[in-house]
Amino acid sequence: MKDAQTQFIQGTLELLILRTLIYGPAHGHAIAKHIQSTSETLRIETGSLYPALQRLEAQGLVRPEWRLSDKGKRAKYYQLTPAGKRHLNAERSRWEQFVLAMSRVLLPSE
Amino acid sequence: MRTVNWLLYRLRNLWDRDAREAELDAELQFHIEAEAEERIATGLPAENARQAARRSLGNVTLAKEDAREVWSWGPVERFFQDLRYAVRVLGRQRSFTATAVATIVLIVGGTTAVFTLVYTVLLRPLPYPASGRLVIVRAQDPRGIPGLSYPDVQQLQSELASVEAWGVYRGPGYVSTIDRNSDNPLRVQDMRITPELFPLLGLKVALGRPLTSEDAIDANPDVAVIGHDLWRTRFGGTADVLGKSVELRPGQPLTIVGVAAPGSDVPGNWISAPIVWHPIRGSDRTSSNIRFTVLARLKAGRSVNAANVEIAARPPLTDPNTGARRPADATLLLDHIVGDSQRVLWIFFGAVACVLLIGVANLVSLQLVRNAVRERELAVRAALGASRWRIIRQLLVESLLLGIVGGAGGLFAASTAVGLVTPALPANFPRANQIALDSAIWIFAALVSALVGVTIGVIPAFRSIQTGLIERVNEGVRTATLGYRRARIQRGLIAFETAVALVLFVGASLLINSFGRLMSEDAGMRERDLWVVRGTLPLRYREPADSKFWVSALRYVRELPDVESAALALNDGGPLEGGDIMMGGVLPEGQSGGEGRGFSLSLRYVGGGYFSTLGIPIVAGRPILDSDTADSEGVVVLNRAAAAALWPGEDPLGKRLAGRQKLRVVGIVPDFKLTRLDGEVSLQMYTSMLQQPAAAGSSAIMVRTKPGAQAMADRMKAVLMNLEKDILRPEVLTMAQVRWQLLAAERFRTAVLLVFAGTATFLALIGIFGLVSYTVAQRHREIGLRVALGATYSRLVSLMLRQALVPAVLGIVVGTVGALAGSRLLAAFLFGVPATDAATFSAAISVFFCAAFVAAFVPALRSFRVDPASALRHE
Repeated sequence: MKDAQTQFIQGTLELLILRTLIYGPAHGHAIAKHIQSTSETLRIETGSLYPALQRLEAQGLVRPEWRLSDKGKRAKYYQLTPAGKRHLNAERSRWEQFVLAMSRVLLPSE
Repeated sequence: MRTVNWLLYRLRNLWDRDAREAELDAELQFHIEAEAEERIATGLPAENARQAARRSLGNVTLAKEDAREVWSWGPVERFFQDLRYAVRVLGRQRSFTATAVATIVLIVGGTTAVFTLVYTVLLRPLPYPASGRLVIVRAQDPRGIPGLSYPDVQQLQSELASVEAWGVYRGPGYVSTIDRNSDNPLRVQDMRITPELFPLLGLKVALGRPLTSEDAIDANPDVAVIGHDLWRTRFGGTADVLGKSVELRPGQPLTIVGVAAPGSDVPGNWISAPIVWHPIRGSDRTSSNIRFTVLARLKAGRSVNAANVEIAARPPLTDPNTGARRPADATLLLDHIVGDSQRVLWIFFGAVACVLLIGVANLVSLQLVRNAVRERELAVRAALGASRWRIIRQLLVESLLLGIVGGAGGLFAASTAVGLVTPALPANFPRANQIALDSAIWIFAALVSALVGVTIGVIPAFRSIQTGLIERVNEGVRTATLGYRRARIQRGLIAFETAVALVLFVGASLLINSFGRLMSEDAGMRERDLWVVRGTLPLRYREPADSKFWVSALRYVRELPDVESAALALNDGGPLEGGDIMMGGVLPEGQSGGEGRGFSLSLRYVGGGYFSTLGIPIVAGRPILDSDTADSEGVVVLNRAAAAALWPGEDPLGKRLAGRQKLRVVGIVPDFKLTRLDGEVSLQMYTSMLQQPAAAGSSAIMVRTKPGAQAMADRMKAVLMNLEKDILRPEVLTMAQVRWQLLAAERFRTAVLLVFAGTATFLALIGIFGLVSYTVAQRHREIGLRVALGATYSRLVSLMLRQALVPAVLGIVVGTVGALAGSRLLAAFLFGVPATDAATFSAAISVFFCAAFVAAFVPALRSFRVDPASALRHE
């Protein structure tokens, strides 16, 4: 645990990406920026972001689409699919339970 | 759903891999630009911003690798990688690939073709319900008439407890003509059956109803079920066929009550005409002279032996005419149909398995050579971290690819071969019409190909990873001499191939020798310029009209130019036709007959001029003459063997045979081979066709022409056709052709075994050739060194020769022992040649050794071409 900020528990990056896409389609760079600015501490490695996007695409949770960015360049936008939305909801509640369970152990109330 | 998505995604990515890569590149490029713009916005100079952006992205290649891993397909990907590599490697080594594929095509094709025969004829159950319990019940008859009469059947039916169902039919082989007065008469099979035959064989009707036991009662209307093909061609395939009639005998119409399902037939039927099924009725049911084929289904759990014990325990069937015993027995229907072909087919299968082994041995040897050349490549791959399993897998994929390609070719070759062989099968070859490539054969071919692929991949692969890495790199770098161990394996393979090939070679030589003796066996007649004109009359001819037909045909033939003489032989009486008519219980006049007494003689009904036309001299007395008519005394001509058996030590001329007609012996002919070329000369008697009523439906005219007569066949055939356009199977044959037909079965098995032996020998010789070529190439430098040090070329050649000839000789020794043991299997098929015939053996071995010597010598000569200077410089 050399750099706590950048270590992701397996699968959480995907969860964050899906959550980000709730606001609408976005390209990889925008996703990374959004997660970084919202979390304030997490730094997204490009080396993990794009494979994660590939995985999500492979599972049919996001749908890619090439369109022009606001700067007028071609960019690959990812959009949440209905399956992705369902997956996000399910995973989010599981995550909440997990966090609750972790904190019960790590931060026992006096 | 998720799985389906995943699968589709990956499948798609397998195909548009390049598009995918480009997309990922573009995406990452966009990321960098976006990052750079962001930095420019904070005031950084454009160039620095771009560099910083690229740095922030980290290791792009790694990111791409990771992303790619998502859409790639692990083991499958790697398999395809191996496959692509294998295709490239094999594509580059064209001569190796061609040799290997050709060998696999040969061995897979050969084994599959023979397996097709073995499977369809011997292994596949007959297409009847519970066919494993179907038996045929037969009785031996001193007169040689097979089958049981209906009274016999009724006796057995009431007494055999182990049988649960019976089915009786007359035929196959009984034909009739329908619509005989129309322009378009049609030959059909007159199939008289018991109604139980349909359920016994699982035959169904497509229309109407099957025959019932009511139909078999004489008082009820005469009805028939017609074959599906007849319905389609003659009755337009419409339902109003029911109630129409079909007339097998003039004036005796049968009302059609049903149409049999397509393909309905009795077992072992070799006639292809449409069938009219109708009940056995009337005198057929009471006569003891009309014989039927009797099928029975045993109760579950009862064996054929149990049925035979039961049959043996009851009083034997007897012939009411003669009182002779007719021992009956039951045989499994499949065994009955397959008969003698069983052993032949298994011999074929053994032979083709030998070819398979030799081919695989050759391929293994070839692979060893190839891997030796690739040792460095393999060593480098291993050094770069490829696991042993990875290397083996790659070699395996290569050899499996060869197996698959060769196997597909082999399957194609097999279907072609089966298509070619099936029509060439001897007539009456069992189940020939059922021979087809079906799923079991596909599976067999796939298994053989896979097995070949794995074997030729695994053995050399393990062999080449056995040697240590270091050794291999070293050996690969500079090899002065052949790796000793590998050469040992190859020499072993050569010995093995030689031994197996020699066994087949000797077997084929024995069969060829035997066939040659049969073809040149002197039958005792002058066969040059001797012709047989034969045919079968349609059933509407009834005696004696049919013999009148032949008499007038004979008259026309005698009038043809270039015909020296001609004579009639009624009832398939031509020589060397394979079939025989036997007369039992023949005794001299004055001796009383009784059960089991008297002699069985081959009987022929001949006309005047028979012996002179055949070129058989009369030893004593006179031949049968045209003047021996119904009005004169009954006469008979015997051959010497018959005369000696009936009147030992006496002059038989003028003596008479016992019996109603008291035939007087008027002539003696020498012993000659009338029926078959193998076996002993039978006891023979010849009677005048004008005195003895004979069924002449199928008869022959023997014709002797002047030497060098032209176009005789067409003219003689025209005589028959002009007299009767519907004559069946009209044939005009020279005696050589008659022999050729008679020996169809021998010819077939000799040809097949010859092909296998030839292939095996060829493959073994290629193996020897390959080993020596390889040794010469591999020991290039050693040879150069030896020459430089003063070795003579003859020493070199003998050194190279020894490589292959020592194992070949070992193989010949082992093969000779194997052939001595194995040729016994052939003994039953040999004529005039003992199974261990020393002459055949020594000839075969010498030829084989010479061929092996040449195969080794030609490549060994190449060591002459080694230039010591260049060979050493190469080092």
